[in-house]
Amino acid sequence: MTPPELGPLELSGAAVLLGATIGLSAWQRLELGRTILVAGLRTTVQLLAIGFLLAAVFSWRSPFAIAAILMAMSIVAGHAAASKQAGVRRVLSPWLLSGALFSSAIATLLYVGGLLRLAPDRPDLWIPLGGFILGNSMAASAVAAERFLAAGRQRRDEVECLLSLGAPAKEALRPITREAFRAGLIPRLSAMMVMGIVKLPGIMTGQMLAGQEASQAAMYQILVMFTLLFSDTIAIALTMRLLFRRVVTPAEQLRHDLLRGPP
Amino acid sequence: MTGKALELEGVGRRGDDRWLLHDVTVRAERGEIVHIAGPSGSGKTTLLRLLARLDEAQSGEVRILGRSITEWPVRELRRTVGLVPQEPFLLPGTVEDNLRSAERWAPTPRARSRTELEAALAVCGLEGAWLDRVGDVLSRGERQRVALARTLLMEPSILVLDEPTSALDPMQARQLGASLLGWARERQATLVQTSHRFEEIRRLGGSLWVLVEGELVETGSVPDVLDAPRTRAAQVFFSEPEPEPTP
Repeated sequence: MTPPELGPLELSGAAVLLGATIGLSAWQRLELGRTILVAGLRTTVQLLAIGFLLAAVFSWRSPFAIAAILMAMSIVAGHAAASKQAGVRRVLSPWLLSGALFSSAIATLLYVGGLLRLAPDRPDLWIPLGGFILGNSMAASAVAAERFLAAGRQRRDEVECLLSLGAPAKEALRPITREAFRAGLIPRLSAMMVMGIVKLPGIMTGQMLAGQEASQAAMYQILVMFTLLFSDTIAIALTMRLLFRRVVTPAEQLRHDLLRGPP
Repeated sequence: MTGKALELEGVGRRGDDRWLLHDVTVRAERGEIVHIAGPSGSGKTTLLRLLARLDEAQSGEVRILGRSITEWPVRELRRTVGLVPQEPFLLPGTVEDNLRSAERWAPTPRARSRTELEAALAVCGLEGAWLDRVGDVLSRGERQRVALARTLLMEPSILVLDEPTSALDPMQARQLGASLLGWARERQATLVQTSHRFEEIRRLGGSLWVLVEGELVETGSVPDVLDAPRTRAAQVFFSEPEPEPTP
């Protein structure tokens, strides 16, 4: 089945739903009418703009152009991840974080691209997939980085006690790294635990709307979930490594100045 | 290895807005007992942390057993300078698990017998039956003593203790002090400890270093410094009442 093509009429129909939501909000005196209107307008303008932009980008059918665009997206993601958590930016350069996200996205993309036999000159496939991976690993590594610093602050005495016993810094910080890793991965693992039971995931729903068979859509969803879990793990591991090198000196001392909370 | 146990030459470390320790020059012989006294915030803990290289001196030089601290492989240094912090951390598990953790990072690990573990506990005033207790339920003073026993099992040449008796009553403090003195003498180990208890310092003897606002204001034998402090800062400090232990 081919999905119906959308035009101004269908979009106007969608706008009726937005108008109805504003009406319901007014009826319930939620005082959210203005916010809903602005959110609706922003969604429309931003998505139409990105649609036109992507149409232009997709015409650059070069693997180098794809890599350059992914790099630009990683830089934005790295800066967004750093600024999301107040303490992280102070300790870790957003550029380093961008590098970690770019590396994890490229490693994952190359594998998945090979698996799906994607042609190297198909930006219309690589870029949305890359963006999806980056967006997810950005959130996971931001959470993990914040937890690493918070746990480092709270468990400083424990780490230094182990260092005093002659433990290597890597081992002394292992409980902290583990805690941060878990914080970064648990949302993804929890989602995987209830996948398909509580709700149908967005990609699967989208694919079925786009005419894909349910079994094919399910298999794509499995691939996507494993891909995201892998890229999250690589991104968190790289972020942990960068943070470790920042907060532990070559003489295996903790940098208290960097572990302090945000001012 | 030759040289003195500890040598500090013009050692300093800065905090955010002041010197935590400033221009400290002092030495301790092997087998010497050194007490470090001074008001809160005077730099005692900072000095102990520098000895275990948990922090870096920003000026001057620290030498341990005749060798610059920066030339030591850091893990070997930390097993040579056994530091027990004031708020020690016990690993999850029993007291025995904790004592055995000291072997985990030894350059040549060897399994200790229960008798050896019991002997280390005995130095710290705890009986062998404590080995099976779980660390979580211990009081602060008990945790401190288990952590001390764990460090003793590393057989450090220099034992560095931050307020080891702060959570003990005077009787327990006296027993622990005497027992540690015996342990140190038997091994020709140097014992460096911070303390607020002047009576205990006097009983154990050795040397006394007094720090006030990051400056080393007095050094000398315990009776000399306690009975006739030369500086005004030390006189003021010694005239203050001793703090109560915090259980």
